Amino acid sequence: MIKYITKRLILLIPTLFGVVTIVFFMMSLAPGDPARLALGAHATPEAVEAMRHELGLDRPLHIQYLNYLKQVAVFDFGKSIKTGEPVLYELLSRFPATIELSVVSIIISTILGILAGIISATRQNSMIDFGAMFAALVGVSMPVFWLALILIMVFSVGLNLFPTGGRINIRLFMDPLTQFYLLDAIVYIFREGDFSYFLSALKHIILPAVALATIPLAVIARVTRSSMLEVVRQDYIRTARAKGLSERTVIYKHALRNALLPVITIIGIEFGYNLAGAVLTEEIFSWPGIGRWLYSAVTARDIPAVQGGVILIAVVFVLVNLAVDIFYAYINPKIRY
Amino acid sequence: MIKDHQTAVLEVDRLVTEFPTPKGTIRAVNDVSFQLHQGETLALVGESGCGKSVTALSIMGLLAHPGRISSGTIRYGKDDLLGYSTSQMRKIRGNKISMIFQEPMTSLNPVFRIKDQMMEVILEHQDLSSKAAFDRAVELLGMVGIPSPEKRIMDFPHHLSGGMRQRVMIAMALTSPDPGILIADEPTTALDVTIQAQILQLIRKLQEKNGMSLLLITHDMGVVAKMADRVAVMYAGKKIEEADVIECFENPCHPYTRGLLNSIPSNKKYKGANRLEAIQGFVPNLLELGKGCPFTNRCTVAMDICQAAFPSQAQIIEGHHVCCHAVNPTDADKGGRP
Repeated sequence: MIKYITKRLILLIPTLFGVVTIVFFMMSLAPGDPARLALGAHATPEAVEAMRHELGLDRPLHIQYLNYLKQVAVFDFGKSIKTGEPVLYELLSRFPATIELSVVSIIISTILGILAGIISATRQNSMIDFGAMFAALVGVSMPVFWLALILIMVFSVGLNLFPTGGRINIRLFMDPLTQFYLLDAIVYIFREGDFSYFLSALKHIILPAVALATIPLAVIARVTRSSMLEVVRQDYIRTARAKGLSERTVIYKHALRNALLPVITIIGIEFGYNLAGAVLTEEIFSWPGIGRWLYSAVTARDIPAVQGGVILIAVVFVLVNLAVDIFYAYINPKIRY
Repeated sequence: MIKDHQTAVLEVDRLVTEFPTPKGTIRAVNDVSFQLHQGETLALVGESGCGKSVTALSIMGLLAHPGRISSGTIRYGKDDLLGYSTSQMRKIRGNKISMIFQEPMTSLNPVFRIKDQMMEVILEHQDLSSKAAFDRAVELLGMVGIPSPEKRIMDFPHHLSGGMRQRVMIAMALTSPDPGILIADEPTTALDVTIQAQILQLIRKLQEKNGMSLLLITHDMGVVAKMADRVAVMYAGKKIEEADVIECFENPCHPYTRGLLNSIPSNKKYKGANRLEAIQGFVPNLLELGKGCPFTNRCTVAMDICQAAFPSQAQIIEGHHVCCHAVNPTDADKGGRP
């Protein structure tokens, strides 16, 4: 197993090389001059030229490329044109927010999705089944930005239950320990007996997490249902019943463990999308995560920032997939590395 | 072997099992009665789709949706199993009445170790510690002839061959200290011939050891000859003949039973013909059964009355019953025994 993981991690290198190359040339081919954008419309041609020189944009493309490769090899992603901060620092300061949101949302969609799938499958063609699958269809069909706005309208503006955006009440200031506010807030509970941080963080994350969870939830529910329907017809389920086991054991132990195999793959993919592409959700809920940051970097033609962001997302995507494969092997004994 | 033929451990009486379909209701088991006695082997014989497996699943209470038992009784000891609640039935399944299936390759759950699947059924029905259940599982695996059971028990099903998996299934079916009835649904059909013989021998050995009753479902008359004490032949959901195994082979009365015996390649008694005999025609569609005998359209001795009414059961000698107008003494004036 360790050998397999090592092998997969080594395979990460060529993948990243490809990602770096593609991202680099794509950004170079895109129209617009980063120096001009950075300095504004009124900058003198001399100033723009000086900026181009400083950014290395006046050198031939292949030299720029080789230089960039050298930098990336030592985890130097350059400085953001817009803020002047190192890209790596900016990435690392924003990524925890995205991870936190993605994890909470994938937990919601996994638990509810699998439950809905099982209930639908065990009551196939009942009203509950039709209802759940119709809801799932609505779920996948709803654009995230629209759902997010509706959630804000109903639960923030209308019922005043949840805040409209941000990660925590701005009057509550927390020492950044892990940068995962929910975890930090739990530390506060133990350290100071103060629940207000946790409640505030929780309240802030619920709406964006729900908005982000909707599509994965619907997909997971549908995949679980069809996988369960397939599995409950298998001979070994009849065997389990013939052993005198309770229906609960038959479904939740014997059937579910087999039915989960395709579901895990889906969860991994959806989680990867969440990490990479929560742009709209983050934007609407003012969630200071990587998606929102990357979006503004793209519009500002902040090349080093975009390159760094995309590379980070690629790494995370590959790592999530690796985790999925390892977990898959864990529950499917036929796969052993 | 001494068999107490007086005590019926299982008594199926006028069982009707139906499957509603959009095109109409299929009677997969139609008014079937038989008794299984203490320690004996009753073979339920017939071709695919004749209702043998559905009979077995009806007894176990494991009919797949939308199947239902619409009438009849299944008496186990003093009780009618059809009156049992779900939880009462669960105490019977895998404990008093166990079942093994045709497909050993797919009958074990691929994601659990043999250990877990064996211990699960032991712990479900017996009040044992995990350690004791584990030891019992190892002992059972040894008993069914699995070499180094203490190692094999840690395997997953895909590590084992088909024959080995069927041995595990048998071990899993016999975890109870007092297994009453084993229902074996074509236990050797999916296995190759040498393994078949081993598995059958194993079942016989275990049966002699613990005195259980065996309901053996098969379409293989060779297996019947080797294993059975009595034979019940089914056709299109009906039981058409029942006899002692020797009587059945020596004096088959129903034209269908004779056809089945004729189609055994190596049967000495019927070796005269050069060609392998087959029963002409097809099993009728269960949706299109009339009132008459379902075998009429394939029968060599069919008469007018066969279309009109299903024959009542006639006794040839004690314990040999047949449902056929051609042999029914009460219908003797219409043709008599062929």
